[in-house]
Amino acid sequence: MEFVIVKADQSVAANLVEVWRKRDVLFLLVWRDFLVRYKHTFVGLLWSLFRPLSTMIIFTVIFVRVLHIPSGSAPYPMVVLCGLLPWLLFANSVPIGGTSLLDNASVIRKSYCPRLIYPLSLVFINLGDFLVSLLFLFVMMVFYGFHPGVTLCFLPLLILHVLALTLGVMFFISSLSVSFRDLIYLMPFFIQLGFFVSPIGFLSSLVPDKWRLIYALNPMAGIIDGFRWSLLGKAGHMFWPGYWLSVGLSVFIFVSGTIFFIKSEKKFMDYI
Amino acid sequence: MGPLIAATDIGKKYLLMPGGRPYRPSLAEVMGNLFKPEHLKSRAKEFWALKNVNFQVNRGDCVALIGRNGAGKSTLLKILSRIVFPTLGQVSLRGRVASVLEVGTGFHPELTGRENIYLSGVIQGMKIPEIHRRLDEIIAFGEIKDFIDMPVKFYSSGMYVRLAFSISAHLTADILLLDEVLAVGDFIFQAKSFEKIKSLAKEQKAVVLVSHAMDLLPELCTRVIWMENGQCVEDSTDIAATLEKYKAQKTKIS
Repeated sequence: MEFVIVKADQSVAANLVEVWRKRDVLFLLVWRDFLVRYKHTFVGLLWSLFRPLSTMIIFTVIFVRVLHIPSGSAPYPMVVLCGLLPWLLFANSVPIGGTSLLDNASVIRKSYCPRLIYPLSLVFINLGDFLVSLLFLFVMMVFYGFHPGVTLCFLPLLILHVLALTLGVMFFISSLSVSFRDLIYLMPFFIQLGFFVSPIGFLSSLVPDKWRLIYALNPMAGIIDGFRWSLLGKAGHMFWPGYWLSVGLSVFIFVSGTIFFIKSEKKFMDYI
Repeated sequence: MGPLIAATDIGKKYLLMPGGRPYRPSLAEVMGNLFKPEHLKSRAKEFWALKNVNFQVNRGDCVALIGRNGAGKSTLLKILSRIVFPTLGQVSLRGRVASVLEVGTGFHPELTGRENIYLSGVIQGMKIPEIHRRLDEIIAFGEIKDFIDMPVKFYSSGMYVRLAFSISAHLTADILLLDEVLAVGDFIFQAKSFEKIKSLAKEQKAVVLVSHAMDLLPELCTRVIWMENGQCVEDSTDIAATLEKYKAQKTKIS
């Protein structure tokens, strides 16, 4: 039989146990998001290909046809797509995660589940988009006759890596934006900045060697490098110190974000 | 085995700004406070919605919380449902809790009645297989068989509350918490829904409810807790006598 003690200083571990206990709610919220999003659309899930495909085509035209940027030994459209996949997962999740508590405020005020579930549930719909785009990337590989190496086995780990970073940032933004709503309006600006700062349209090997470690302070840079290394093999020009720095930063953001969210939960419940 | 609910010394403090606006540390305030001298800093006032609340609920109890608006009944129910955290003290809950603070929590207008049964049921504390099992019962009780696959945004308000009530009426848990949800709909449905709550209260191991429907309570409850200014004034199993005393207050005030 379940036994819980409700008090002011609930531990982080106890809260995480609750998240697991209430996984039914998580599942239903994810299911609701998919239903509501695709119910009245004609092509349904195929919409998720629209953004990566259109961006890829624009980038190919501008960077290759007009600016003649080198893409290494892999076809340029694939280089772009490898960068876009993790970037879009991050950039689409963070803004909706940021408003997740406020959007669900009417439910949060009237029923209980660990509040961590609300931002958490939103990452799944973007993960769905991500997987559809990944499938499309494999189709493109066949089309170009490109064979990925054994490094492909590491792809699941890289997906976990980008999820850790995404969730960590979502936990911070969602709990902070309950009282600091300014964050909601700042978010799109930072996301756009990140889009230009991250190596999406180009290989990060274009950055001079002495700047690469500083460049790697943007954890998305390491993640994108990792995706190219895993999917395109040698053509990806991996920079390992930068990658490990990104792993460290992502784990730190994920863990501190989770703890921060749970600690601030009991405060923001009083005024959400 | 101990009581299903044991509340010890619960206190709940809220910070209020002048005029009752809830205190929220906004960015402007945090920044402003950096430069302010100490005595000007926080204008927030403390407000204790609950103070030193102690009680236990045993297996088979159906407890009614009574008291005037603002006495702390709903705050207490929110703490028991784990929506807000107590500032002081603790509550131990033995068993699964289902709480209905509002009928139709979690309804999404775009989804159909059937889909909303799952969504709202799970949000109120049911498990998915349980909803599977009781789906037909829920639909039949709410009298919405012909419209169950219609998005609820097209429902009439009567259909909407019938469906919402029906979900709540089929919750299965060890501890059931209800806030003002004894009867909804037209008079026939109201009678039916009250009967349902009565049998639900018998099935459950423990029930705590808030209600202002004084004449229904003696039929439903085994115990009554009277609250005033955030404290329990009286806790008794002699429901009729306590309700009499409570009603007598009204004549005193006027």
